[in-house]
Amino acid sequence: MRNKTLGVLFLLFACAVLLLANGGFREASGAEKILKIGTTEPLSGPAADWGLGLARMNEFFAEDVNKAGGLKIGNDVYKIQAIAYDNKGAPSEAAADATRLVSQDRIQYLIGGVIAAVGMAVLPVTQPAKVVTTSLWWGKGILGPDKPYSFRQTISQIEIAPAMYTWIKKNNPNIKTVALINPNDTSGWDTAAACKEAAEAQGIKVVASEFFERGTKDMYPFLTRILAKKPDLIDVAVTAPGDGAVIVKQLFELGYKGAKAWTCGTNPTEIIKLCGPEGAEGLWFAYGQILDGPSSTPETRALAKRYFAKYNAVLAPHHVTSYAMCEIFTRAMVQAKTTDTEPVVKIVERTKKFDTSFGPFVLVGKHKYGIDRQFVHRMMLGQARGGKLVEIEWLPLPGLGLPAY
Amino acid sequence: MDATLLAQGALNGIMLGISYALVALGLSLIFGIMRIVNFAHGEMFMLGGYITYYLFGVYGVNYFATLVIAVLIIGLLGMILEKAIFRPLTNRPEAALTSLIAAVGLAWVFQMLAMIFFGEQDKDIPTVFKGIIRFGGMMITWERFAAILIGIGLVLLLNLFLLKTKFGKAIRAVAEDKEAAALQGIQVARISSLSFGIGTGLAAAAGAIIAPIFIVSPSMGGEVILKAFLVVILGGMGSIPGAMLGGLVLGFLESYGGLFFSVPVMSVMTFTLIILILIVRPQGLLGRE
Repeated sequence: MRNKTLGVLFLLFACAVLLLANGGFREASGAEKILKIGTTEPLSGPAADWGLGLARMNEFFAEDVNKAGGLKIGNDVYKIQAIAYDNKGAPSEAAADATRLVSQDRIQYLIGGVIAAVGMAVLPVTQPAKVVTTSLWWGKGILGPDKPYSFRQTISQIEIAPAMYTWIKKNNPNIKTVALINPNDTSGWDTAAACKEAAEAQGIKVVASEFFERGTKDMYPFLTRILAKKPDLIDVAVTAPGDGAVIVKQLFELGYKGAKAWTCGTNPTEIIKLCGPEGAEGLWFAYGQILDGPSSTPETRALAKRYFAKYNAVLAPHHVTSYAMCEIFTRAMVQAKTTDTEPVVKIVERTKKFDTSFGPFVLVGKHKYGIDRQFVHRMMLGQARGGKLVEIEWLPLPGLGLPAY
Repeated sequence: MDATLLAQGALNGIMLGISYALVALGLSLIFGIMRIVNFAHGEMFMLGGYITYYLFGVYGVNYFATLVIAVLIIGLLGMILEKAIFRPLTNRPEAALTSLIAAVGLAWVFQMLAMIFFGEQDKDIPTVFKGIIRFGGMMITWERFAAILIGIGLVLLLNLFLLKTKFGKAIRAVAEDKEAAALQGIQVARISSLSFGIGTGLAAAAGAIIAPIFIVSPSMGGEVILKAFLVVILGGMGSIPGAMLGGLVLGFLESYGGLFFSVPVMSVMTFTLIILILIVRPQGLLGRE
């Protein structure tokens, strides 16, 4: 008898846990519904700086919309719930997160995501479920006509590298050789290829292209080998902030005095802090926008201040693209009068040009990927000087349809 | 092949080797006494790094005082963990397996606590010893040179302690034969506790020495523990000189491997060579048969 009672109690407890886990008690009464925006990010480890800001931008967007009374889609009012899981930069973890987001949390939109190898693990889960993904997965295989629900929310290495190397050569004609350093995975291989192509198009010879395992602490062995080739420029390309800062710091220790670039360096202020002012001196960044400065929109400046006040950390340009994606897709949902991804994607595809809190975005990509799924936006070239990030100029990005600036 | 490059490779290898050996020494000591494979050892290294970050990096406490404080705090933590968690497990059936699982669990707990209390993002510690020493075309930062000197100093101190002090001799006796040591009147429980504390203190010292050179993060312990195990297995489980030798072998392998080959090739070579060494000498280079 006692066992039976315990059994019933256990079953009730299990049901309660399942209901809560599925947000069953969160469904509000009447017409109020929940729109879940999910993401799987590296929230710890060397790439945590990338992932944390992206996840937090989804939360900020949810807060803003909910504070304003929710999102009216058709006859329903939606509250937004942001969900984020930590994949630690590991594809296997990301695949598990994606499965949980899709089958348990039942998200329709996954906004944000870094590291191409992670994206390659997530897409087989999200695409069949018609879940829209917008990400910074910088790999060639992320976009394509066979992946109609996969978008890239920021300029990738394929667009940045030519712009960066064109600028470098035009303003530094004495640079004739470059050494590339990238992590040993899909992001790294694709970025190395893009940077090599861009450098060689400018007559800059690639004297070394090295790959390292993410999380490596002592880079001296292969840096010593690279320095023996005396490159004029070293580009740490798509290296994560933690790893890249170690490389830049150790290059300084080894006496390197040449030019340095971080073509895909996405949070310059934090990176400069990690590298130290001497190590970082002269380092060029393609994501060199100072978000609380005059080159940013008032909305971006407000987000940057709010982020610093809440987290005592600096918001990076690539982080804000998640907020912009939330804006773009929720507007499309309102227009489509549904959260279903098929009609929403059609509207986004048709609209092509968008004004967001981060500034103008354009949807392009047909010529490179066979389908318009690549969002592009303005890029500010910056440089580390005296321990601070200094904006130099907007990188010319011809042929992408961005408004003149 | 440029002689300067070879010499620079040797210098890098020594630096790497000393840093691996420092972490591995504590692991070897703990295994030698208690037969516990302490997977949480990397987290002691991590905590040593964070103590250095906060005391030296944020509050400006003298670096050497910070090093001593880190060793004492984490040493004490080690003694508490030994008494509260590992000692009760050693007398149970399947002690090796249960203490291994407990250690893995502890590693996760410490990593998560570090993320909660210290934050997930990487942190940089200001340079302790500024400047670069250049000689004969080679270079080494004062910081790395100091790390080598402090590391060697700690190893010599440990050897002196084990060879010349009453407690050191007792530790060696317990490592040799626990029962015989107990029969001689040695308080095995007290010695085990002290050994655990010394082992974790050494890991914290390694963290305090190495953290200013690299970057502090909650996952830094997990990254170093694999290397520490490689060193201990290579040198011989429970062998202090073995840990030193294993550290240097691994350091040189990685340094010269990275110098001549790409990183993936270097990793394959390193592991292949280690496997070959173990096939020839399964007990490790200086381990007992």
